[in-house]
Formats: sequence, structure tokens, C-alpha cells
Amino acid sequence: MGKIWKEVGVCLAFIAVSAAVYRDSLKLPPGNYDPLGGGTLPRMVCGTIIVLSLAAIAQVLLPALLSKAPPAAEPKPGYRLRPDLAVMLFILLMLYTLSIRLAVPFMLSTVVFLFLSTMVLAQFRARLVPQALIISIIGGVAMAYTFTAILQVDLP
Amino acid sequence: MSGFLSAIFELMTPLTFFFMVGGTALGIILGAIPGVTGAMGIALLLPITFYMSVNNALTLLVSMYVGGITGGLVTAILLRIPGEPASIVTTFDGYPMARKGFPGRALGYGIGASMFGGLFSWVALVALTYPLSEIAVKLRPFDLLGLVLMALVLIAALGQGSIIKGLISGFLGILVSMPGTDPSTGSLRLTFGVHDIDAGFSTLAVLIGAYAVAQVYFDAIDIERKAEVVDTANNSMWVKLSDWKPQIFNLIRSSFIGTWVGILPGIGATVGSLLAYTAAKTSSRTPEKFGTGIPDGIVASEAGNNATVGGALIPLIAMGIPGSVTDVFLLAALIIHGLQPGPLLFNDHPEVAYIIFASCFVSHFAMFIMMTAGMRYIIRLMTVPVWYLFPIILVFCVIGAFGDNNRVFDVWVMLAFGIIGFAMERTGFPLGPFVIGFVLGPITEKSLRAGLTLSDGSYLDIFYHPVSGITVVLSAFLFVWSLLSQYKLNLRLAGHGTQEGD
Repeated sequence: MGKIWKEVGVCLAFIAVSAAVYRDSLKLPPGNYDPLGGGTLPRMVCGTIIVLSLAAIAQVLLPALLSKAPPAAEPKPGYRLRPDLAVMLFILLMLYTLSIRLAVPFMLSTVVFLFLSTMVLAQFRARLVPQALIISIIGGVAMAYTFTAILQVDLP
Repeated sequence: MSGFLSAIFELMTPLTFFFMVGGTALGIILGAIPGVTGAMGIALLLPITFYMSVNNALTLLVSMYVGGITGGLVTAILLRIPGEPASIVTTFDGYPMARKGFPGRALGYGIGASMFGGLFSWVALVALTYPLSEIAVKLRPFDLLGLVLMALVLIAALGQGSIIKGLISGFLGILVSMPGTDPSTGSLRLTFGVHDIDAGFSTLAVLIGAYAVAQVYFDAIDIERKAEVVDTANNSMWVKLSDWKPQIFNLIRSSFIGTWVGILPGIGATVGSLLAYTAAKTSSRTPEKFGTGIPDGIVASEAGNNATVGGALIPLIAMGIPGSVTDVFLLAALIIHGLQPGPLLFNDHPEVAYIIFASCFVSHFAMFIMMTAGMRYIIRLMTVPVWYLFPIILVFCVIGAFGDNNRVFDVWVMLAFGIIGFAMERTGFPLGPFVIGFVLGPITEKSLRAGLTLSDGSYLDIFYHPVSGITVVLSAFLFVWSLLSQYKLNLRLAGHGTQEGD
């Protein structure tokens, strides 16, 4: 997907979200004690976002439509991009959150998350497995101890 | 003067000195960890201060405040993840400079500017507490609204991309701050039936998600970039006096702006650093270099945000009005110890006001020594392989999001805003205006509604008073001026491209 269409897509998403919030804010009653009520400012903000998003779409599309030359391609970096790693990291983060939700002990889930995400980012280099395992165990235990015993944060 | 000197002597007693050093160190450490802010540290330590004398408690908390604000610059410069929201603007130039191979120099500029800004505002704290607090308390709701509006336009104009995208980002931030309980009526709104957001989105979850988690995704995509290697030969943090000379005016102006913004209730260090940065950029002969890693940007931001510390303490001590979120905890500490901040504090317990002055002063020196002496260890963060660092950062993010309300729902919110932040940044929507809009959203609404109530629903009242009138007109002018500047820049670039093509 081209850069232009990505930008247009994001703007359309903003318009859709703003329209939904605008619609929901219409249900709010007018204010009793102040002239605005709870819904007026959200409507103002949503309206502004919609107008600005349309302007942003025009700003992106008009030069491309008026120009006869093909749109310039996105500049490519001098290295390989790894969106797959970011996706895997996101999935691991979701699983980590899910494990917390399912009341898996914080220390255990943290050690596992640290080890797996380290291996993902290190692109599964076999020689890094012992190091990653040691750092994950130390990191998980140290964080759980620091936050519960020292800082007294109520961890899951 | 004698009161201040006796407070300094008290600060030098072993136990109070220990609390001052410990508070500063803890503030730096917590400020440097994404998701664990100095304010959170102060909140966690607040129950411990029950068992301390009021002087020791205030010394500990004020020192943490100073350390936390400065500690935020470490990850802002080294990882582009602001340890504190106030350090967001430091990422604009600090991170590019670190990426160019000068992380030590970037930190050196940041620490020096922090020290200067903090001490500048301390002078204002001591000298102006009475007179300036009287002016600040007279600000009307529309005045605050005008200042917030100006801050939004400024942050949108700050980005290197389109001001329209910057404004969309800022208004989205305000929109995200609105679901939950209506601050005026107490009724629920915009929750779409999800009861977990009855109290609104967790501030930490949104900020950490949009800024920190999104950045980790970004860096994961670019993990094979060779430029990650830092040239350790250039890692000295020493900045020569001759290098500081061109920054003198920038330091004074930024510290002045930060101090003044700090004095205004509710508008804290983030706006201080933002306004100082914008002032430095707009008055520069080379504004296009801002955002590429120049010292001017780091100096402006750090002097600006540290200068808000002393400024924000002025309304707290003189009127009992917190100048920032962190000041709320200081206010609570005073009340816990049976003290009522306000004009009576100077009459009834002058030693308390003086210990705040003294700890604010001495902890800036402690911060400078600690940050300087610990620099070599801090810089090593850059050489830690990212595959070890990023997972640890993500765990801190999860803890930070969870710890705000002890709810897993907030971690899901953080994940969602991580994706939203990633998509926005990928398509040229700057995240700075978003997070700032999110933080300032409640102030915007409160100011607008209170202002309209006072004016019987008339918007024209905004223009009948100098502060609100000037700020609103200035915001409109800045918006038009930024659009025109951008249009001219596009034309110039197009002309340049055609010439190159020919």
C-alpha cells in the first residue's frame, strides 16, 4: 500500500471514530448548571478533527491527482526492515497480558516473556540462548522483588 | 535570610542530608525508567513520610521532584522514550544527537541546562513567591483556555511535518481524555457501555502506550539498522564553556519561560519545555535544524522543564494551589503533617517554607553531581543489545500501566494505544501533540465550561480580557503563519527539486 493511501486510510479512521463519538455525544443531555453540558465540547473536538482530517486528505491527494508524474516511491533504507519482529513482539505482549489476566504468577510470566521476546528480537540466534535465559531469570526475579518488596507496588 | 541559612544547616544534618541525597537519587532512577515517573515514586513514598518529621518528609519529596524531572532526560535522549512526560520535547533533538554518536554530549547539555533552569527558578521561588502568586490567582478560566489553545497550536507548529496533522493529533489527544465521568455533572459519557472506562482512560496507560510501546515497535522494525552502533570515542559529556556561550541567551529565556509557566496553576513542566523549545526555534536563524539533533533544542527543553519546578512551588507555598501533578503530592504531605499551605504558612511555620527553598536549592547540586558522576554508566545503556533492553522496557511499561489503578484493563489500553501511536507516527501524525492534548484535555474542558458559566454563555468574553484575548489571537496568528510558512517551504522545495531535475 502506497504512502498516500496509508495516510488517507488513517485520516478516514479518524473521521469514522470522530463521527461515532459525535453521534454518541448527541445522547448527552444539555447542561443544567453550565451553558455547555457534557456533550458540546466532544462535538466541537470531533467536528474539528473531521474538518482537519478532510483538509489533510486534500493536502495529500490533491498534489498527487494534479501532478502528471507518478507519485514518488517511499525512500528505502539501506537495511532490511523487520515488521515481522514487531508483529511477533506485539503478539508476545498480548500473550503476556493475557497470562497476567489469567493470574499466572507475575514472576513466571515475566521470565517467560523476557526470554521469548529477547529470542525474537535476537532472531533466534542459538548462541544467545544461555545468555538470554540467565538475563531473563535475573530480570524477572529482580523486577518482581523490586516492585513488590522495595517499591511495594501491587503487582498482579 | 537567617531562616534560609538555618534551613540549609538543618539540611546538612546527617539524617536530613541522607533523605535529600536518597530522594534525588531515587528521583533520577525512577524518572529514567519509562512508566515509573518521579510523581509515581513520590506517591508511593507518601505513606512512608507519615513516620518522618515534616522537614525530613518535605526534603525527601522535593528532592525526588527535582531528581525525577531531570532523570526523565536520560531515556528521552538515549532511547527517545521520555522517562517523564516533561521530557517529551527533549526527544526532539536529544535523541537525534545521540543517534549521531554524541549521547554523552546530549546528556551533558541536558544536565547543565537542567541545573541552570532549576537554579534560575529557585531564585524566582525565593524572590517572587508573594507578588507573583497574587497575579497567578487572578487568572480567569478563559485565560487558562487561551494558554492551552496556544500550547496546542505551538506543539502542532513544532513538528517538522504538516501543522494540520499536528493539530489533528492534538485534538485526538483531547478527545481521548473525554470518555468517563463528566467533570461538571458527574454523569457518564462516551463510554459506549464499557464500564472499565467509567473513570476515563488511565493517563499512564495512554501515555506509555502511545509513546513508549509504539517506539519499541518502531525500533524492532529497524533492528537491523547499522547506525545503532555508538561511537564511544565521542561519548564525553563534558561541554566546554565556549560551547555554552552561544546558549546563554537561550538558557535565560528558556528558564524564564519555564519559571513563568510553572507559576501558572495546572500547567506544568511539559508546557514549560514546549514553550521554551518553540521560543528557541522561532527565534533561531536556522529553525530548520531543530529536530535534527542540535544543542539549542535540548538546552531549551531541559532548562524550560526544570525551571517549572521552582515556579510550580510558588502557588503551592503561597496559596496552597498545586502548580503541577507532582505538587499535589507535596500538598498532601503538608496536610498530612497538619499544615495548611497558603499565606499563613509563612506566618505560622516559616521553617517549613524555608526547608522547601533549601532542599530545592541543594538537591539541584546533588542532582548535577550524581548525573555527572553516573554518566559513564548511563551511557552504557546505549551499548546494551536492544534485544535485552526492549523486553525489559516493555515489562516496565506493563508494570507502569497496571500500577496506575491495579487493573489489567489498563494494560490492554496501553497495547491499543501502542498500535494507534505506531500507525499515527508511521503516517506522519506527530505523537507529541497527541500526548500533550491528552494531558491538557481536562484543563481545556474545565476552563471552557467555567468561563462560559461566568460569562453567561458568551464566547466574546474571551476577547474582553487581555490574557485570554492576546493568547487566542496569538494562537490564530501562529496557525496562519505556520500554514503560510509551510506553503512557502513546499514551493521552495518544489522549485529546488525542479532545478535538480533539470
